[in-house]
Amino acid sequence: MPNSEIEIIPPADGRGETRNFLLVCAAVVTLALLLLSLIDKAEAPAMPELPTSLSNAATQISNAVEEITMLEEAGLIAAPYQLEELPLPTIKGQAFVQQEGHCFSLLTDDHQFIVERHEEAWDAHWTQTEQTVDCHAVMTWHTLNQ
Amino acid sequence: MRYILLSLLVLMSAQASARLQVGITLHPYYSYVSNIVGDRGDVLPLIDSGFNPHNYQLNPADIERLNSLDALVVNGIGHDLFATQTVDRLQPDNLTVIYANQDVPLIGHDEKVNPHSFVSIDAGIRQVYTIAKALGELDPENKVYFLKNAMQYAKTLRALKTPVQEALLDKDVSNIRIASTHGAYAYLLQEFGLTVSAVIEPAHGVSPTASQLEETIDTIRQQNIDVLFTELNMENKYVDTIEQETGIKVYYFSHMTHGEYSKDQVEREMRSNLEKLAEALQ
Repeated sequence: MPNSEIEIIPPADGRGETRNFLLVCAAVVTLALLLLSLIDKAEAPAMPELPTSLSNAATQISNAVEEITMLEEAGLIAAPYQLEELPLPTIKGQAFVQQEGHCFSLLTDDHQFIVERHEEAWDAHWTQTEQTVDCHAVMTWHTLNQ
Repeated sequence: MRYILLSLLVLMSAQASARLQVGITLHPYYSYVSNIVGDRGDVLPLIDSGFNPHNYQLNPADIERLNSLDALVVNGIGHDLFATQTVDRLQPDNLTVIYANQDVPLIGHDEKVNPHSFVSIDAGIRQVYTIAKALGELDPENKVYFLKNAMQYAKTLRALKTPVQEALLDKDVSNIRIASTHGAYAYLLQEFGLTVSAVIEPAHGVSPTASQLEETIDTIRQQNIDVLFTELNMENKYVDTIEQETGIKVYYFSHMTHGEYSKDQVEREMRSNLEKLAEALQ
């Protein structure tokens, strides 16, 4: 009888494959979670919105800013500005007040609107506040059509 | 003599080609732009009157017209998707698209913005100023003329508010409950401190189902709604049913997107709307 070597191959128990499969699954889930968290962080923070009830107020103020700009370009108004010369609207019975030479404000429904002359142009902003704040107060100011 | 005539013809054609060619997508923009440019520009509707802007598709002739324009004034917030989608896709050379609503504080948010800002005085004026400024940039020689016309037109539109303001003197508007067939009048009503308590149509021109109609009738009864504003030029048979079932007073308002294009359409139809509103508030 020839002397021969018999190779014995142990039957695969599947543990290795199972381990590898689970590792791949865990890696896929981890990667997915990582990507989702990155997408979530990349989203811009939600912008606060002006309440619908104030959208007409904002529109009237925006129109006034255009009209003030046109009046100034036509030479009909000039610095130093006086409140009564500007076509600012009255909103819900509230009139604008002059805070300083170049800034006018109106508080209504816990929102303050300001119309201000900057070096380049007139513009208007709003912020949420229960009481009148200074035009240059450290607040989050939003443009009218946000 | 012949040379003089020829020179005159050349001069006239050069002047005509120098005039701004401004396209518009909806009727109110025809009125706005006509009042702004006066006799120093041409206003060209992108589609003929009589088509429903909600489901219109531009054809090759419309696209050819689009290519000949200097500017196109669009609502841009959902009422003229037939134009904005095509313009976005084709991006015609030398065409300036003027988004009339870019400076309007809109009602609603994200995809649910109410696009009917043209059925309004204040939001209409805001759009007139945006358009006038943009046209002034395209034609600097006429900038002052356009802005002056815009201010004059704004004054005319504001004067239309008077009958309603008089009707509202010493009146507590918080007691007035209003329903409308669709959301077209939200901007206009808000100008007078009025809000819509119930909107009946699920979408513009789409009749409510029997169960939706029943629900609306219940809402009108429960909330004691006083008046219903519905749209002229649109057949709304279910409005008669609502009127019979609830006894509510119905007033017909113009949506301002029907009929022939005309310079005075906004002024004329808004005056009629506001007279009806004043009557409803008595």
